[in-house]
Amino acid sequence: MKRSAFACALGASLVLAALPAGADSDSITVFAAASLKEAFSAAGPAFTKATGTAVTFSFAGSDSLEQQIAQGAPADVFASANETQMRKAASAGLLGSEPKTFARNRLVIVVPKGNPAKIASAADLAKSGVKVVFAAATVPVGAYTRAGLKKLDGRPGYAADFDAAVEKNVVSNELDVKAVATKISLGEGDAGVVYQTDVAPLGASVETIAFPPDSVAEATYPIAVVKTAPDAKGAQAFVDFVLSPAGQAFLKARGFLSP
Amino acid sequence: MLSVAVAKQLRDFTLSVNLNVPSGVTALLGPSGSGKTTVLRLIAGLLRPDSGTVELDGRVLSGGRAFVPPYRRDIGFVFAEYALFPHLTVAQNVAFGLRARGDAAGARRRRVTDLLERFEMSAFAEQRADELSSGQRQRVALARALAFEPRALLLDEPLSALDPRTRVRVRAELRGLLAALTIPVLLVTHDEADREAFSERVLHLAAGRIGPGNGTSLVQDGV
Amino acid sequence: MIRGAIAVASALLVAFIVLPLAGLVLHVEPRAYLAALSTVSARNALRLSLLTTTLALGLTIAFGTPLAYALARGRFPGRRVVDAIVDLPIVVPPAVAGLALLLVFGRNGTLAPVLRALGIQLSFTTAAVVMAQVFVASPFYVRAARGGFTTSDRTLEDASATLGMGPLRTFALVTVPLAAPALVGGIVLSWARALGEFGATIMFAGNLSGVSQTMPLAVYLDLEGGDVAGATALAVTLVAISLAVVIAVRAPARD
Repeated sequence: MKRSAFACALGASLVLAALPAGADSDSITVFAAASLKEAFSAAGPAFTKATGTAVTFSFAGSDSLEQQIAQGAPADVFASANETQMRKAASAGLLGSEPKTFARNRLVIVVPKGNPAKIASAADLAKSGVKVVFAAATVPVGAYTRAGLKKLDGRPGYAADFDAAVEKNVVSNELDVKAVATKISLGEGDAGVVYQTDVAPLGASVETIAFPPDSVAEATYPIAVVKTAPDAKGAQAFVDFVLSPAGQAFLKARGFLSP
Repeated sequence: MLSVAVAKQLRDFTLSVNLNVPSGVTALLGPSGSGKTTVLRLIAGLLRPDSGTVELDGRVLSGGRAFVPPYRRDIGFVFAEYALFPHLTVAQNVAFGLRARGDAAGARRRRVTDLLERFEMSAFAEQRADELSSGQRQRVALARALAFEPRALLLDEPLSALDPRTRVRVRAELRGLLAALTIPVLLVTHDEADREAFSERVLHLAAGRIGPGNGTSLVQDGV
Repeated sequence: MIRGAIAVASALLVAFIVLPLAGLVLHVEPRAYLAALSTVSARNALRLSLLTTTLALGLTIAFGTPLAYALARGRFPGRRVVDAIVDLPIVVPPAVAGLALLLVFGRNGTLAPVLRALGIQLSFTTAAVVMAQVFVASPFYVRAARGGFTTSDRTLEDASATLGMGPLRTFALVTVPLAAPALVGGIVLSWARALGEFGATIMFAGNLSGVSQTMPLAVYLDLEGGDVAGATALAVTLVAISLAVVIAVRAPARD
């Protein structure tokens, strides 16, 4: 008697576990870049109120998300922090709609409260002994950072191999921008590069230093419906919401630039 | 001469021991549970007495604040189940005490060969100890305990692990081997038959009334 | 009927373990494999993993053996508490362990003033990798060793003492060889846990090729970056090394 009850319980839980999440059409899953965490988390309830569709978010490095979608993860929407990952998804045939840019973001240098290494400008990132924390080069913000530093090579006040000098100071390549932010706010590094939208949540634990104008590229954020979305209609509704004034308000409130 | 005058509170009674063991074999007879093994462990230093002294050839092994640890007492011990090291060969077992006292490898090998011959175990030198019969193990245990030329020898029920037929044969063997020794030998047993074999000197260990804190088990010099 | 059920259940579980690993190996194309392994980052990851796990294992054995012995034989107040504490890292999620290490040993951590006075920086170093590994892996060894010392035959240790061997030599020549199967099992488990350590490492030691990017981190990052070939090559190598160690360690065992 006990044995068959156990077998039933086991079978039932296996079936439940295998049920596709979101089989119920009143909820969607959005895979979004880590830097969108605060903005999207705030926008979620508003979207649900407006459409009646619940939304769950998965925030991570955009490269990681693209890989997961390519391996068949059940996402309805993909919002990336750069066009590279979106283009990759497109050429792999993973998208169900034309990607649309919905926001832009700027990179800033952050230092721990008190600025222990006395960083005054981007040039100081190459100073010897400075511990720099970046995101890995495959993560959008990591790629933007390195591209931006390269743009500064040879400019007045910057050595010709400035970006290589900074690279020598890197002590860790974190998996996403939030990890970079955390390490700097804990004082583990002397300086890091994050999006300006990541600064507000860190509060007083960090100070920011701007890059020289016309140096680091601006991050462009595209959004698209995933081809194999369990709920394609709900997915499109979310994309429309993000592009609408209501959705844009959430992004602007957190420091994103308009698309 | 081994002199023992100690007391130890055990679970059911207080063990109080007063005996002298001169050169030669002394048998200590008593029923199971009377504390015989405890007596040996106290002499060997594996247990600390509550009070009293243990002396060997005039040297105080335990008394007052003094307590010589078991690895410095120079007393051989043959355990009830022989306690041979299962991961070592017969030769390595016998050589163990010689290693402990720092003999050179060559000297060790020679002495071990001699001993194994004397105990008729030469053919088994490279066998692992856990592959022997109980009669063979007994011989190895004895050889091992005597290898480092101890000043006294203790045997805990050396025959009880053997089947009755082997026991008879081994009893005679053991008697012969022990008779050749000139050190004090204390052999503990519950078997009356051993009394005849080793009756040079027999002491009796009798448990008094068994009860918590009641009764005493005494050993008295006697015949 | 029962025999059949046992056979089926066993076969299923074994298959479940073997299939993914076999699939991993089959995914590898020999030339791509060699190319992937010869990159600087792959070789760094391999070297770093082997170096750190060896150090972590050494520290675990050096400090874990006396602890296991004390737990098995000692009668001291709070022994049960210490026992439970030793088991904690096993149930604590690795990322939590990493965060804890960071908050204590980091640049602004609790012990930061002491470390600064000694001129030591721990976070983002290879030392941090070893620390993270010791933290998560040592309990496996201590548990196994404690079991080995508990079931060891005391009479044999008594015999060794009567033969003239002092406590340390008795421990080395009798106790340890008798507990060897348990100790070896603990070493293998502990080493494997250290080799696979990821969450605590990236939290506390960070991720930098040649310094803190161990093989698991390298696999993850390769995969993130879309380099499935690179990730697979490293993963297969990890499996091969682990398999080799498990076999080598069990070969001399007698059953």
